[in-house]
Amino acid sequence: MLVPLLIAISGLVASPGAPPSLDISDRQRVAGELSPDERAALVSFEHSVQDYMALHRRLARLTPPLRVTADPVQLRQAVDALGEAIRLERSGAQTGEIFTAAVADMFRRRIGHGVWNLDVPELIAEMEEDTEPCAPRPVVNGRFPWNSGNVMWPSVLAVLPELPEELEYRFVGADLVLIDIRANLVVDILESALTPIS
Amino acid sequence: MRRAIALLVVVWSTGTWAGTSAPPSTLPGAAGSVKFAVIGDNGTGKQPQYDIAEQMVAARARFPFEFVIMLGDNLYGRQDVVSKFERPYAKLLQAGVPFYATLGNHDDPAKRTYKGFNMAGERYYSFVRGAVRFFVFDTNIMDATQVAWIEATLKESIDPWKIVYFHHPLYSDGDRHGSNVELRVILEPLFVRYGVNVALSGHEHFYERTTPQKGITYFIEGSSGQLRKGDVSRSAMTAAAFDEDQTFMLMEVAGDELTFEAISRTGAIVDSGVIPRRQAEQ
Repeated sequence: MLVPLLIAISGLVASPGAPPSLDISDRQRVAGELSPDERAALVSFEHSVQDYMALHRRLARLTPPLRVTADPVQLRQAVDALGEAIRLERSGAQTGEIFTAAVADMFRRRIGHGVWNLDVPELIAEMEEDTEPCAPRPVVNGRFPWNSGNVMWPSVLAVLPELPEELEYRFVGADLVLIDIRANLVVDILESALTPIS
Repeated sequence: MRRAIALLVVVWSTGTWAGTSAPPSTLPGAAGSVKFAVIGDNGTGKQPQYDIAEQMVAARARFPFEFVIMLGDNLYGRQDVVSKFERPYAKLLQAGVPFYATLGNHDDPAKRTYKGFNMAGERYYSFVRGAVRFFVFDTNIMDATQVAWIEATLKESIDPWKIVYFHHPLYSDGDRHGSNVELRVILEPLFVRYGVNVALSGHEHFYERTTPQKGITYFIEGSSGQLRKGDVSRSAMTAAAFDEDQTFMLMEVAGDELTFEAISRTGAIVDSGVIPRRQAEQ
């Protein structure tokens, strides 16, 4: 399913300036090819996500569950309680603890392959225009600012490591944000994730 | 005295003095038809959202729509359900009108568990009303799992009408965002193959209707709270567009026809028409 999907994207949106030999199957293959360092970085990322999810699930058992409810207060309390509990346990969390230098390099390369046929500066400008003036920048351990312009392209999703359902990737400007959507919490930020592939 | 007479003539001739007289409806109002309203990018909590809500109440007096579909960006900024949803639409909610939402890029995904949005905790889902099956997608995260679900659900549906809705438009004449070509490449072939009749989206803060694209009519209704004046650059695919005021839509599916109206904040009908049912290609 994934290969035909990506082939379809590549075939119809390729821009005239794109490298002619880098069709989508090549793109996926190149993105998927890992050097030993990148393989280690991928393993490191997956372990970091597993560790975070172990923390998340342990604390989710101790806080009110998120259920379908007509009561918006109950809904907010369930999200905020888990968010606060995680925030407390990770009170010293810094940018780059999951997106370590090696992980960041691997992600940037993959993202570059994912966006090679997109006008990245234009898309960043669009996100900034879509951001409300009062919207704060995402910060690690903070709430995700839903009033910021944000996006995730299918072509990039296809080349990034899969996440558990409690987590999502979103771009905010040029940065990639890893969000715990159950707790409305910024887990980590990969700064300057959007750079054109050379 | 002359001024008073002149004013009365103006009011009588236009028939659209806000809130005081409804324009003649183009909707058939047939017994047993599926009647619904459409809003998008509505959750501002500001006066225009309330104005649109009042127009919806007025419209429901002549066209008793049974439910409302929401095209995303249901809540802006502080995700306050009370001030940006329950209060503006209080009269409709008290009348028992359900709302079926999709998630926009400004929506906290946790809100899919809010009962008032009828998402049952899911990012994507479908539901049936009479002869119409609605398919509701999350275009924020269009992953392979969702695409597989979309194809399987469209394929197995034998409903006469298939209407899809999601936040990011596949076709748009908006200067701010424009068409989402990546999503179009993924979704349009499925829509064509499995007989989707109409697609609705928000994200752009105006109203637009396209000419049929591979047999499917695409609507943008993203100005039910938000508005971006002058954002439309008309093209060959523009059948109708309105970016001067907030809007909402009414739709009725009866037999082999879908009739629609787009209504402005002042109660003017800014677009209307009939879409015949198309058959699947499979």
